[in-house]
Amino acid sequence: MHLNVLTYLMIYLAAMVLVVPLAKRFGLGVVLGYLLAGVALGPAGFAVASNTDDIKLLAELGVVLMLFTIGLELDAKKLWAMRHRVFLFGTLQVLVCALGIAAATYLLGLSYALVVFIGLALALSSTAVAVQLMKDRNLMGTHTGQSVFGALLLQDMVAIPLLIGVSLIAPSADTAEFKALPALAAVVAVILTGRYLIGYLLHWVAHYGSRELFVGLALLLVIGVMELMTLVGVSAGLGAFIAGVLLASSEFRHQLEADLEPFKGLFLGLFFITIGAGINIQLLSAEWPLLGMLLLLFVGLKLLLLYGVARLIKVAPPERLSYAVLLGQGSEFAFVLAALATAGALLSATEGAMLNLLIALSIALSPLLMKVLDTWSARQQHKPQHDTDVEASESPVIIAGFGRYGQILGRLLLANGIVPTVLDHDSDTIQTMTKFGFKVYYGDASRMDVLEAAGAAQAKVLVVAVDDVQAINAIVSNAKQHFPHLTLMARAKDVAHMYQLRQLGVSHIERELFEASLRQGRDVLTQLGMGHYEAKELADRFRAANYQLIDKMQLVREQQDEKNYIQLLRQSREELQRQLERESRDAPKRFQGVFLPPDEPQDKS
Amino acid sequence: MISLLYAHPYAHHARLERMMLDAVQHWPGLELRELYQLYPDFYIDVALEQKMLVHSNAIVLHYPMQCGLPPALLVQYLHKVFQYGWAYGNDAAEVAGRSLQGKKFWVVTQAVAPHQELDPCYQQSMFAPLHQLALSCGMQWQQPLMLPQLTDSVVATQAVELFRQGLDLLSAASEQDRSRYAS
Repeated sequence: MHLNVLTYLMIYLAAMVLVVPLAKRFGLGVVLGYLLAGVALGPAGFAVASNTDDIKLLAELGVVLMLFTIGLELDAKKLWAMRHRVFLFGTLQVLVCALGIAAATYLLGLSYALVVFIGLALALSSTAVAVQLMKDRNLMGTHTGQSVFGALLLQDMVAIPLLIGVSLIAPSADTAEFKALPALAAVVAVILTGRYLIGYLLHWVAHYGSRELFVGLALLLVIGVMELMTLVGVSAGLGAFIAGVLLASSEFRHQLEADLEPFKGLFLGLFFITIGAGINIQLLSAEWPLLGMLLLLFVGLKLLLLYGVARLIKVAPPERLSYAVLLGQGSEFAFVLAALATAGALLSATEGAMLNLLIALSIALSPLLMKVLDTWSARQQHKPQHDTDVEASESPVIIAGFGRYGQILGRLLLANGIVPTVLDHDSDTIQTMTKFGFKVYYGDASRMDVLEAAGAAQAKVLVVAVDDVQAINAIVSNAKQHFPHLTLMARAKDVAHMYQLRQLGVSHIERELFEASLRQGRDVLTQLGMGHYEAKELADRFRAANYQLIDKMQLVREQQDEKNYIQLLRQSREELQRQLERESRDAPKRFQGVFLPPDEPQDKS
Repeated sequence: MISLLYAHPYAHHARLERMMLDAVQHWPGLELRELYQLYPDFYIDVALEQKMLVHSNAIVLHYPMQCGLPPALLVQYLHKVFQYGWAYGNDAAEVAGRSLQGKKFWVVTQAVAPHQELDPCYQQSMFAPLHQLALSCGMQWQQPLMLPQLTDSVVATQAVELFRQGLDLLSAASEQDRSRYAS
């Protein structure tokens, strides 16, 4: 059956849309849903998933995008803080698992070369699966999550010499050759462009281009890195990760994250589907006793070894099982390794297929095991399941819009040691403000995903300081819906807008020009010879009366129709006018009794 | 220099007080500071005020009373400017902070009931907190001036005269101080 890419995409998307919600409905989780969809499309099901290298490439893009977005969340400082977890704990994990698995395969009576190969290949874990499982459970920020991620990072690095090793031991024609110098040059190129060039490019496109161009640039960036890395034989994921880290301190971080999110999700889904499709059901049904035993042996052994590693690296006791299950599967790298080894005649075709199946099954088993672990630990303890040391670096305050209004507010906060997270969509403003020490991010705050990326889930206060009424309302209603815990503060254009905002549930509303006008009104009064304090009191009174009127009119407005409202508003305004006039006529009398004896002769002022 | 700290929220409407202030407006070496004009929002420039006070030989507080208490801003001023470690008590290095040591401290106010100005017992209890503050700061407490309630323009003129006499005394003393330092 020959189909074009578009048809394939259609079929895959249809499978996703149908199977994944079903899997979720039955509590199997997203990853398992994708895998099932893959099985359905595979040779055992509708057999449409054969020979789809293009789709596999897109699937790999999913993994690369995922690593890129992970990189975006880790700037160089955080990464440096993780160095022990990566190099010490990561190496320990790979060594212990490789040795353990090699020892077991030796006992099965395989050749030395095979023992070493299988040990190392199966010591690796699936980044895609582990990270997806952690994301689903909000584990990325925890100590355990960091340890798991550290190990995954090191595995990505170890995979490179492994690939070289296999192609040396078992040379074959189609080996992607690893060239040390070009590889180094490519990594340096990624670092240099990421550090110095991409920022300007993003800025430029954000300024002159449109929204979709920005998304396009983000994709271009990731695909470019992927192509470059594949060309020189380095893990594309690793390259994308480096690029992500370099952009983590950029002001475009949140926007990049939000823009790439849907692509990442879809392509990652494709990735899991291709794994599902790769499960060879015929071989499984023919050899199921042997495969079942091997799977049990492999996963059991790996979990045991990982549990030991977790103990060694001092993961908290209740977390050790999580650590083991998260890393306890075969890696997508192992597929590549198995393919190489089969091509190089290190493995026979059947052995290769068996190994492939074993890895795929272990990947499929992971979400299931995690699910079991979840229910088990939920039953075990009612206290929070995972350690709560989530990174607390996100600011308690988010300011949306950093024009003249937001800036003053932000400067007040910054002057007092509170660094707000600022979102703005004017790249010029961002560039200027970054110089003054603000963390300003490029992004449209009316989008739920951008708010989320800015840390709305942890923040306490959201200040909407945008000047456009429609935009303010959009941001406010979105935030109210998705982050009900946030205290909303907004800038109102006028009284009518103030009513709208009240209805949308904004608790703190300021009319943008009200206080400034009032303040200047005070100056006019003092310039005409009134005492400064007296003028302040008059302004305070005026404010209070104004708010009273607004409250009163709101009631009327809610009960009456528009025409009545306008008429009543006019009446009320006139009433207020009269009241204020009366007051100013009797001004001297007003103060009697407060530091002025009632019978003291008064000036006429 | 004499610092005259005047605290009245509605000074523009207080005739007697305006008369008194007008009378001393061009007094040589007198710095009039109308607190409610300077700090209507109660945000006091502490550093500036402390500098002014340090440069004065005498500090005069002039305010009306209400419920036996001075106006809120004057209390705020004393709390903010007369700081522990600066005006009284010890500073961070355990050195006694006596920036106002030796300065003359004179309180001027007006009776709120008939003949209060003639009742020394009443006055003593009324001024006790300020007297205590002056002692803690090592300042020289001057006999306060309580002006009679205003009944007619004769009384007003007398009040202004009493105020001038008091300032005269302070000026002479500060003149003496200066010549003593000069010689």
